[in-house]
Amino acid sequence: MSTDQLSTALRDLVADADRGAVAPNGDDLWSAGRRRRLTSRAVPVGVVACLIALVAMVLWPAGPPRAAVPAERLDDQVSQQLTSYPENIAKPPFLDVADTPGVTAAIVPAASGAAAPYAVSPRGQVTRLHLASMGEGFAPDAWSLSPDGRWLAFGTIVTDLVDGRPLLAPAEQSWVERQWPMPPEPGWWSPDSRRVFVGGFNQGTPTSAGVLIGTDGTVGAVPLVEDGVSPIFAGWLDDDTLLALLDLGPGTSRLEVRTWTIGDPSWQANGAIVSWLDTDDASTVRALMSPDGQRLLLTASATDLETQELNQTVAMMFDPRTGDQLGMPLTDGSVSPADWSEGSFVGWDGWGCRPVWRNGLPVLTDGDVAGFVRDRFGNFEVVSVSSRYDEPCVAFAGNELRGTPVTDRGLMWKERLSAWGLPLLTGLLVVLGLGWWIRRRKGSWRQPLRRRPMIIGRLF
Amino acid sequence: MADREAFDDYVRERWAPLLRTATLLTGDRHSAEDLVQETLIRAAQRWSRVDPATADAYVRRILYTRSVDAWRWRRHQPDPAEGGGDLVDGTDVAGVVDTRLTLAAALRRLTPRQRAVLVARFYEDRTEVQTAQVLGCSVNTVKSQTRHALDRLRVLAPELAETFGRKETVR
Repeated sequence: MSTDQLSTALRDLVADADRGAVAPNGDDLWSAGRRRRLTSRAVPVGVVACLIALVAMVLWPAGPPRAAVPAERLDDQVSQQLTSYPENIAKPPFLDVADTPGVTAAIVPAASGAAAPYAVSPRGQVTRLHLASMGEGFAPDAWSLSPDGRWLAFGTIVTDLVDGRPLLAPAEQSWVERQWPMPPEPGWWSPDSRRVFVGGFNQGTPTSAGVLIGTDGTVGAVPLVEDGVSPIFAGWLDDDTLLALLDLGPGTSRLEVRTWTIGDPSWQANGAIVSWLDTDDASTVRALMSPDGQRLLLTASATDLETQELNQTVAMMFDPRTGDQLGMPLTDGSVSPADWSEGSFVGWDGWGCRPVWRNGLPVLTDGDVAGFVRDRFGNFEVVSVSSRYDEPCVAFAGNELRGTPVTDRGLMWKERLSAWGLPLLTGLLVVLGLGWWIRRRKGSWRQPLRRRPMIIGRLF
Repeated sequence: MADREAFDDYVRERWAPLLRTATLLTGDRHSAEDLVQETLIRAAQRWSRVDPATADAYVRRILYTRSVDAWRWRRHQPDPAEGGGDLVDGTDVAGVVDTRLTLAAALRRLTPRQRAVLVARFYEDRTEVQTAQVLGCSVNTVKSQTRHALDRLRVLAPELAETFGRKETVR
């Protein structure tokens, strides 16, 4: 038997293999083939569509709301205050760049003062803010938002966030910047959002303690608090009255309360003396009035003179009208002056960012935005700020977290997906592609359908 | 519509030869019927793109490929070719000396690749080049698989060693 005999034997072997067998129905085979063809096309299209949708969800820029968010009118005047604030400030990729973000709840500064900051809407939408006039020479955290979220002050540059235009004409703005250059602190907005006070001595012989810029375009100088003495500004006692402290004693043992009402020729002492720490360790003292004018927060930072590093920051609240010590909130939110002896203090985790108020209690904005009251999960964090922002000092509208916290989980997931979702997806696709390629290489001889069928001359 | 009619005609005319080839490839007529059916369904998927002149070659290529691919999932299941096949119906292979029965039993012991090569080379009488094309592999692979298959058959069926031991005719 030769191989020709083998051929014959093989043919004999299956000569009657089709005996009794029933041929399949051509219609059924055709229909099954059509269905499989549709499926084989629909599945890849579906997978690609899902991937595109996933990528689009991550990359598609979310436009900020251009209309004012629901706000409650406080009186017959134009002022409004925000009724919500973002509970999370995410940093999703590919942010919109705009000069008119609309009503804004918070400003997250960029790393340098001249770089565009981030505007956060009351619902957490983030926009890269492109201002016509950015100013130079101001500190990166010199941003200050009006309580109604409409006006933004960067140093002495005031911008309307609704129409994107600077408040002052270029010539007037230039004059203001020349007169009060490089203010040491962000501006102080009046509770009615009608004016902002930017502290700082004027150029030349000091004749004013700062400049008052009204949202109606008026500009006025604020008289000196006391000749030769640098005051500690604390903000507004009410819509028309500024409050400052004069450091008259060692440390912060004698801080005299001074007030200035718009139109008055000079600052007035109301007779209140704040007596706190009697040591000279506190090298930097900052003050902040609560929005209702009832509480005055003092923070004192001690800096090592040799290393210039911050050693410790402490804090205490006082009554601005009497100078009495009010104490600091306990973890349940209670504040009782009886719990605190004179000159006592609490540690303050901040290093210089301006705090904000929430429900009458102070909240730190240095890095984590956290208060002193535990929530039901035991956390102190009030607003979660993405660590991907360079500059941690977040400026909130009116230095207050007012209304209802709003969480935009979509933005949080956008950031999460962009941070690790996309790399994961890319890695997965690479692995799948590599696996497919290897499988194709190894099993190439079993994959004839991709090649044109050969022409066989003789069939059996 | 013309495609469908052409497909129907093809199925009607070529089904029986396909089944015979599939029977050799699978060693089991039921598996062969399944293989032919799967092959024809796959062919129907792309029938509109197939050149009528090469339609049979295209279908047979699917048939061979599927026969090998099917072996991959059959590894996890009882192999219908592992004894008890029905290349020869109702017969005890061990007790029969007939060449056909011995050959059938030996074929079942080959790997799907070896069976495919033998069927293409000696049942369908293809050249090594044509076999390589229909299996989608190299000519060298066909040569080595043929040699291994014949050696294996010689071991499995010593009474046919004379057949398998001889050097095959180069075509």
